[in-house]
Amino acid sequence: MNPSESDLGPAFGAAAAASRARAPEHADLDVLAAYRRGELPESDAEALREHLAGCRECGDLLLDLEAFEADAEAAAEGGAAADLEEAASWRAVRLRIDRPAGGDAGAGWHLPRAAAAALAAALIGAVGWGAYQRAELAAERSAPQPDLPVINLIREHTTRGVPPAPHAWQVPRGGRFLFSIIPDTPLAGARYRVVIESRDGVQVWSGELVGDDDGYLNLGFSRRLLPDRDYTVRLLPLDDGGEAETLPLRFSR
Amino acid sequence: MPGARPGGTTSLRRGEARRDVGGVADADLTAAIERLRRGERVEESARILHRRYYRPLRAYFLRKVASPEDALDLTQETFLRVYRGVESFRGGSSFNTWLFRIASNTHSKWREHRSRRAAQPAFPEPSRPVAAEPAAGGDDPLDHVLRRERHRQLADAIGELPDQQRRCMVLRLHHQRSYRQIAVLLGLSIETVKAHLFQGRKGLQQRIACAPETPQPAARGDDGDGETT
Repeated sequence: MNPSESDLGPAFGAAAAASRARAPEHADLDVLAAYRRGELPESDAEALREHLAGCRECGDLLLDLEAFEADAEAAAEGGAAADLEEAASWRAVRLRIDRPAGGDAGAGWHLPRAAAAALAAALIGAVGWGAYQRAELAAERSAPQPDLPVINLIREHTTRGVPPAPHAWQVPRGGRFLFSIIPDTPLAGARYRVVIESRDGVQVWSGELVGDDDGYLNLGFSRRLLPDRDYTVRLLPLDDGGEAETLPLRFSR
Repeated sequence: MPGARPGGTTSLRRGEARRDVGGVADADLTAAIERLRRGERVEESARILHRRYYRPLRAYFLRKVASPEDALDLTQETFLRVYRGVESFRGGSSFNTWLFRIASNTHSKWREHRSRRAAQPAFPEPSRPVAAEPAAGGDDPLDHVLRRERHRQLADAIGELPDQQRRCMVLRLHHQRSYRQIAVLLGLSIETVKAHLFQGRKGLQQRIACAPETPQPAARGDDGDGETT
């Protein structure tokens, strides 16, 4: 007998199922990494090979890890354009990093424990560091960023009572930009759930943001996700004592 | 934020960077990770990690999601998670692996979130009566018995192949993996994979030829993804 294609499919499906039955345990990522480096004992490696013959999920994970590590080892390619892209991404990430000092220590980076005598000096240093960071952040905000414009959604446009007419923000076509949403009472470290909805109530984005040193909520966004139309930005405070706010938003080119 | 473990060490293990990658030397990267764990010179250290891992992370997410914007968002989200969780990196596993785990988890959560949103229909679909499934392969009981017998013989023949031949064939014919992917998964060279597949097909045909059965169309030769045996 020679098998037809309609026979081969079920037969190899059954063979894959048999491999899964012989080695049913999914592999942890550290095990897959050790296997890739040739550091697993042969008996464990043999069991893993059997599992990989039957498990697409673990196979995909190992292939992803292999490709990632190969990319991480490869010399950087892409030239100046790729460098600019990396720099733009860093600016967006930097604005979302919790500040080490002068900010909310519980939410981000820790201050090293110091002796009581050193604490005062550390405090002075922290104040200086915070001032330096604010100055640097302000300089960055005021610097021209043609590929990453900043939109300051300020409180004059928030709704208290009668909603004001939304200001129409003009942003470049197809680019990414940064929101700096400024709550009515900006507080460093204040936590908000931010919900962006279209005017017909469809949620476009939702996430948790923490106020930066100035109490601004910074959010990198792709222009493509927000076509030209009206939106509502809702700020829902996650800390006690905060007050929900609604901000109208309109984009135009 | 809890303090850093004084006894903890950060090392890049075998297989990690041994040269200047992305403008970041290996030693600089190790030092940056250690400083991040201690909460020292955070921005400078975070910048070094970003420069070093931006491209591989972005490439990973571009492979996983269709939209470049989503890939960029996921890349940036991964960096934030790395910075916030770097103190949990114990140095026991490779930093590449540790960082990749965060990227993989970030992608999984994003995918779950997307599928939850996609699973919410605007209007609930009316329930439909479930029709009885027709018996596979038609109604003829004799056909059904013959098909089951062929499947059993094939399954037996596949099970009798040497392990690596069998795995290569399952990965190729069931999972539709490329030769290179099979080589990575089984830790073989591509040439060895091709040899296993050739021998596996040959062995399978020999085993099946011994079975008393009416002739059938020949098994397909190559799998048609541009690679040749």
